[in-house]
This record gives sequence, structure tokens and C-alpha cells, in this order.
Amino acid sequence: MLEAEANRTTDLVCLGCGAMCDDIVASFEGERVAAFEPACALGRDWLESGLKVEPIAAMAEGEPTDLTTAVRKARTLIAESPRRLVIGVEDCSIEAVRAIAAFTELTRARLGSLSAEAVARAVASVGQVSGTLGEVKDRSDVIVFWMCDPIATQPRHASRFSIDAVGRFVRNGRSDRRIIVVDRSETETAKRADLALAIPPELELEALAAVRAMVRDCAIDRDRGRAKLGANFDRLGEVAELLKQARHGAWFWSERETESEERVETILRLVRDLNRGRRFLELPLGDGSNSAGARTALSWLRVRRRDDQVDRARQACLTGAFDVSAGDLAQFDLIVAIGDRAVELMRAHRASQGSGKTPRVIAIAPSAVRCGGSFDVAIRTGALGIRSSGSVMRCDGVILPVPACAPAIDPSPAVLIEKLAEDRDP
Amino acid sequence: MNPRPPELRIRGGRVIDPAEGCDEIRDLWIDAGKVVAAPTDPDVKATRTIDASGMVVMPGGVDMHSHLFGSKVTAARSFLPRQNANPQTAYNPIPSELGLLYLGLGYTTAIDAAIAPLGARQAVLESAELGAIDRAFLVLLANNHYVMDQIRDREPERLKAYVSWMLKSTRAWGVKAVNPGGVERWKQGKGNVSSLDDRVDGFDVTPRSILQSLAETVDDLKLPHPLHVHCNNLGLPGNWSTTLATMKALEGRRAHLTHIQFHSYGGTLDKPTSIRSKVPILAEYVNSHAGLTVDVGQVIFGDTVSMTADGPVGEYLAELTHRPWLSHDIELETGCGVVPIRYEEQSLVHATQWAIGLEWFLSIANPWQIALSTDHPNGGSFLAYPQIIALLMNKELRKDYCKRLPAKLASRSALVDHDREYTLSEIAVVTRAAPARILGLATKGRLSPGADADVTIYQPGSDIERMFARPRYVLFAGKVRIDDGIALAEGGAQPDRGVLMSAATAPDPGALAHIRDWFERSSTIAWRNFPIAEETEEAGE
Repeated sequence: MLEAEANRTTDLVCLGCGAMCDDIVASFEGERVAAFEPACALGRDWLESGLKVEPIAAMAEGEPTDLTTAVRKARTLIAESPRRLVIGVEDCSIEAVRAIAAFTELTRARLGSLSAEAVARAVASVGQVSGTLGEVKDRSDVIVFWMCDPIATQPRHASRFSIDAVGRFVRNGRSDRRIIVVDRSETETAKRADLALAIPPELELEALAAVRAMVRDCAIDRDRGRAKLGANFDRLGEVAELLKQARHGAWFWSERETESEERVETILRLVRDLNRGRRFLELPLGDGSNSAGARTALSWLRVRRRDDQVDRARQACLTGAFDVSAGDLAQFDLIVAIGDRAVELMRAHRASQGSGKTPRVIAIAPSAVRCGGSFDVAIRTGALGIRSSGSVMRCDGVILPVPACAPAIDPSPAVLIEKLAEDRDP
Repeated sequence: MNPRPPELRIRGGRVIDPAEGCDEIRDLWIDAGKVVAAPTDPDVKATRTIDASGMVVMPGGVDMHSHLFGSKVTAARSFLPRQNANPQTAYNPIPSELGLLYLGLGYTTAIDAAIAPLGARQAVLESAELGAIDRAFLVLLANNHYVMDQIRDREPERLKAYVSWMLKSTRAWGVKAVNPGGVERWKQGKGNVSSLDDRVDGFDVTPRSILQSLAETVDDLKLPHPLHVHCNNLGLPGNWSTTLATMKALEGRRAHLTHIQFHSYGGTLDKPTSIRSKVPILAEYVNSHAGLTVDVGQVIFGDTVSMTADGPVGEYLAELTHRPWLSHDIELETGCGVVPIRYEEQSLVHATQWAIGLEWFLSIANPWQIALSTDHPNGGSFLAYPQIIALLMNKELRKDYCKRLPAKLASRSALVDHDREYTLSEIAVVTRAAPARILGLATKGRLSPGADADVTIYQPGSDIERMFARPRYVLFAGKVRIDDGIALAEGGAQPDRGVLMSAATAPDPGALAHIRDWFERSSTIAWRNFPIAEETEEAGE
């Protein structure tokens, strides 16, 4: 637990959004947050909801039970179910990822992804020119927000890392920078931009290709461009000019739920092109999950992948790639869902399946018992950064230690997973 | 009651322990993970005896410059999954496999030579997976904003306090200088530096002032390992003059120049194919300056991956080869470039690089001033060490190999003129005794009482490469971990794991307020989240 004066914590690491601010001072009384500084509504909500503890520690077959019984029941389910899948790794600390990797080795369970694999595949294909957020703060005089809206989704991104941040070579913050926003409609971030465009999603690839061609000074069929992109074609020309004038640039973007490799590759190639004559970095905006940390840890841990082709399985392992999409649940007879997102996915899946009980579900999350009646076993855990500790990786590859800021009531996911794996033969 | 007998006796082997000037047939006694003196009572029997008659016994190998873990390695692994799919040929095996591969080769200690301060937490977590070899890492500081500010402001005490604090906070073993000032200049979009006296805007320092100040600081702090220098202009034709200028700039101070092969090129910058060896003039300088040491960074033909904190080198290679480029700039300190590369026998440039590496080994008179490295995986995999050893021990093998390479090589390198052949004792120096001494690892690279019982036992034969590729036994911390090529299972009766070795520094508490003030203004993480607690590695395990 952090230095706490009564219920006051300093340097709390907030996982309320992808900014992962680690300079928060907060105080709380019971489950109520009395103060959260610097002010951030998202962070305050995150802390408040994480402080709440469900009244029941565990449930089995819809009935409240104690932790020991729930773990025993979960072990029985694991033993009885030959086709097992673990989902929710992206929401676990690196320490829990390690425990999950060991668990999958022991139980031959597979790993399911909550997010798209397109980014990893695109990076493996074309490379990536990126950096840490401090590089943007210190150097970037041109910043692009491409299809992302940090003012709305990461309230302190602008002041800590990007639009307003004061850095060694950007001493005047906002006034030393040109901000470009390209999104589907006018966003909160667009209101802070020097140049903002709204591009319909179906024309995004076309727009990226046009900017890339302009940056590379390629001959462009302008009539065709205008026919496709309308007035935006000429605005994209202004974007390209601003990009070329940059001394140091940063390109923020958001990964989509259903991502295309082609989109990611085009962004990666464009940013590489922008490095001719200046330094230009690309950074995913990230969310509050430990997606980057989970993927990275999986790439250094011994996790045997289930694939008919050994080489392909090894490659999946090295990229931190997952075995299957979490949407593909039908082939499994047991799902171990870890974290609130995975539990919600399984709750929705169960609801859509009606009374059918396949696959069976072990839910491990702060919210697991809230809908415990839907699951075969539900075990409550403490929210990471609030009632459990671990390490997480920011979207820029920086690992932060995340201590608990309130007393732990339940075992952490890492400890629980280790318990589930106990007494099993490899 | 009789005292407990020693755990192990290695009987009758040819013990080659250059640190003790020993090359003789004798026994080696081991207990509680350490080499111990032979019992005075001749009737004492060890719990276990290994008959090493006819075998060669050396300290465990020490790889002083490799890339083992951390963000650049995981990035490369993810970036090149196809090339890394087979663990036996992978450039970047996962740590648990990497540790076993080192052990299988008779190496029991390995150093990651380039960890960014902000990447140290990942390095510590990941290194815990290495298994039964000891490890350490060097932290990058030659493009560090606080370091450059203090050099500009002529504040040597603050610089000393910062280096001390940084080593303690990151749990590093030593300080690495990569392309001093050049990475920062490149990150500003102004291109790389080209000489030791180019100025770095915004800091008013030069590569020369950074090198000299850091080397002096490392000496003042009495760190076990001298400043570990990756010179400016790596890989560029004509870079030998920068390398010689670096050596001269460091005169009077301890310094280790790493992967020296990549810094020993004649030729002209406008013609990449013009490279030629400048080893004689550089080696002559090292031979006349006992305080200078080098490791080689030998090139091995085949596919590999270049990974470096020298960001501009990554870009140069990517543009030169038109290969995918992975680049990651790290705030307040460094860059990172990863590019796949293939060294081809029929390429005159690559053949010249290969020859330059071997020339270095054959040109340094005192083997204690040179260490074997491939700069894994930059020049090639460490798994090629037996191949390099064979070439060093057999001039005919070298000459035969050269016949496979472009005929023009003779005009680029004097390799074929070298008749020197390394002895087994000299091999023991460049693969364990010298790197341990250069690193300041007092209990490594030697077999005297009190030394760590990391021991490699080889079965000699006419095939030197095979002898070194497949040790008969490898012991780590006194336990047999490899027996005839078979790794003994971890855990159970032999639960020993290696440790992360860190320099013990005590930063001046009076200087911390200044460092903290700068850190809180400059970093995107909180002050308290930077230092790595000792429990972090255990959490990783």
C-alpha cells in the first residue's frame, strides 16, 4: 500500500484511462472519494468504483460460498474440461500475466484476446517508428491526432504529454505547437486544433494514402483525389504541408475494435516516410488496460502455443499474439474470464445463449460476483491499483509499478491463478 | 564429529585458470557454491566426484557485451517472429531458452550492455526468466539530459551524485556511453554528430566533453567496470579516426571500447563499399595503453538482427538495406533501432568486417586487453563463439576460410598475414578471465578459493569448434547444470537460479534534491516510481 495518512494516498497510479497518471493525490472515506488531485472526472470515477467491494467474496453455481470452496470447485471444473480458454490477460498486471502463462502451460489452456491482432501483424511486417510520451512533451512542435479524441478520453493527456505540455524544446507549450486533428466528426480535441478535418470512416484509407503521397511529393491525380475526398482533399494538402514543416512530430491514433492491418500499415509507413528530414514518431493512444504490458510479457515468457504448425505457434508466442479471438468461444468448454471486461463479455455471451450453459465459466474480477449467477464459479478480486498491486505498461512501453492504495480484502488475480494451478501435474 | 565433506571434487583435470597463472593437472574442490581449498586431510572424500581426467577445466564463460533482455530485445522478438521461431537459430530467444543456450555453451555469466534508464524496470522483470546464469546490465547515460546539463554547467559533484543515484535506482552494474551526444542531436532532427567536437544544441556539450566527464565520474566513483564506450560513427567508412580520437580523449582514464570491429574502418563516407581495415593503427594504440580494453563484436556470416541504442545507426542501416525499421526514442536519454541484416560471404564489405574482427584478436599483444564478443545479436549469435575460437587457434583454418571470400579482401585486410594461433590458455583469457576482470567481477572468471563455482569442463579433441560447442559438464554455483549436452531440470534438487548483479553505490543525499527537482520537471513518471525495488526481480520470478 502507498504512503497513507489515514485515507490519503500520494502518487497513486490511476488506471482510469490510457494516460496512466502516476502523480495523483487522493483521499477517501470508506468507499467515497473525498479528493482527487489533479482533478479528473474519469480518474475519480475509476477510484470510486474500484473502492466499492461487492458484499460476497465468491459464488459457485449461483450460490454464495467461501473462497476455498470456490477455488476447489474451479479446480474441478478445470480438471473436467479438456478445452480451456483464458481471456482477459490484457487487463492483468504483468505479475498476473506471468501466473497465467504458467497456468496455461500446466493446463494446456489457450489464450484468447480481447483486442485485435492487426497491430502486431502490421509492426512485424513493416516496422514502427515510435517513442515514449516524454519525447512528445519535450520536442514535438507538430502533433496529429488521427481518429482519436484525447481531450474526451484522456483528460490530462494534453497537459502532461501533448497539446499544452511544456518541454525542453517546446518551452511555451501550446503556442509552440501546431495541432492537427482528423476524425469522423468534430470532437473535443478538434476544438483545440489549428487544423481539423472530418473524414467519413469509409474514406479514411483514401485520406491516409493521399497524405502519404503528398508527403513523399509523389505526382497526384488531383481531380481523382477531389472526386473521392471532396473539399477535404485540399485540406489534406494543408495537413501534408504542416507535417513537412515539423521540426519534430508526433502522430497519435487509436486502435479500433475491428482493426485492419492495411490501415495500421499505412499509418506506420507514413510516419516512417515523415522521418526523412525530421524526427516523427507514431504512438497509439492506449486505454486504461495493460494490453501493451500483457503482450510484451507474453513475448518473454515461456508460453507454448497450440497450433498445428510448430513454427507458427512459436511466432505467435514471440509476438505476444493470442491463440484465438475472444469472440470465438464455441470451441471451448471452459472459459476462465479474468478482469471486468472479460467478465462482462461472458455475461453478455451467456445472456445471448439463453439457458445453455456451454461453455462453463470461471469469472475472476472485482465485478465477478455481481453477475455471479451467470457463472459456474465467480471469485471477487481487488481492483488493480486500488486493492491489489502489480506492474503495468503504458502505451509507450514504460512500465509503472502500481501499488494498492486501499487495504486488500481479496487475493490478487496472480495469487488466485496460482491457486487454481496448484496440485496439477504438468 | 567430522566436518561436513565438500560437496564436489573435480578430479584430475587440466585446470586452466589464467587469473591465477594456472595451467596444470590438479583437482578442484567445490562446496556451497564456491571453489574451496583442497582439504588438508588426504582421506577426505567429497560427496560427489567428477572424473575429469583428460579433460580441460576452465571457469565458466563470461559474455561481457550481449543483448539479452529489455525493450529492444522484446521488440526485436515481436518484430521478427519468423526468424526467431527456431530456438537453436533464433537471434533473440526468450530468456529461459537464452539462459540454457548460454549454459550449454559453457557460459555462466552474461551482461546486457544497453538498458535505457526508463527501460530498467522491464529489464529487471524480464531478466528473472534467464534461469541459472548470473547477469547484469549497463545503463545508458551518454545522451542523458541531466548528465549533459551538469557537464555544461561544470558541476562534477552533481554528475557524480546522479550517476551514483542512477545505478542504484536502476540496479545497473555499470555505465554505457552510446554515440555520446549523437543520439540526442539526431533526435533533434539535426542528424548525427560526425566528430568528437561537434556541438549538441540545447546543451552546449560535445561528444568529447561527455566522454571525458563520464569516464572521470566512473573512475571517481570507483565503479567496478570502467566507462563502456560505443564510439561515435559506428559502422561508417572512415570511422577509425573518430575511434582513435576517442582513445586519445580518454587517455589517463580507464575505458572499455566495445564492439571495436564496427569502429575500425577506413574508406570514405560517400562510398559505403570502400571500407578497409584500420586495425593496425588502432591496435598499436591499445597495445601501448594498458588502461584501455576492447571487446570485438565479431561478425558471423548469415542472418541476424541489428539492435542498438544508437538510433541514427538504425536509420542508416534501414535506409541502406531497405529493410523494415523499428525505432523507439526514449525520453531524456536515448534511442533504439532494430533492423534485420544478413552478412554475406560474397559481400566484400561483410567479408572485410569479418576479417577486421579476427585481425583485432590477432593484433592485441596482451589478451587481457581483449574479450570475445559478437555483440550478440548484432555481429551474429553468441552461439558462434566456438567457430571463432577455432579460427583463432588455427591459422590454416583461417586461411582456408578466406579462400571462400572475395579475392579483393586481401587488399582490404591483412588477416591472412597473421600467423598467430591462440593457445587454450589465451582462449580462457578472452572468454572468461579477461571479461570478468574488465567488468570488475571479482568472483568470476577464476577458480581460486572463494571464486564462484561456475565451471566448464571440456573434452579436448582435434575438432576445436566441437569441443567448445559441447562442453562435457557445465556447473553453475557448484551444481552440474549441463551433463553431456543435457540440461538438468530446474527446481527439485537443484533450485539455484542466477542473480542480477548490481553495483553498490551510495548517492550523496545532499544532491538528491537537485536531481529530484529536475526529474519532476522533466520526466513523465513520478519520482517515486523510478527506482526499482529489490523485490521487483522476485516478482518477475
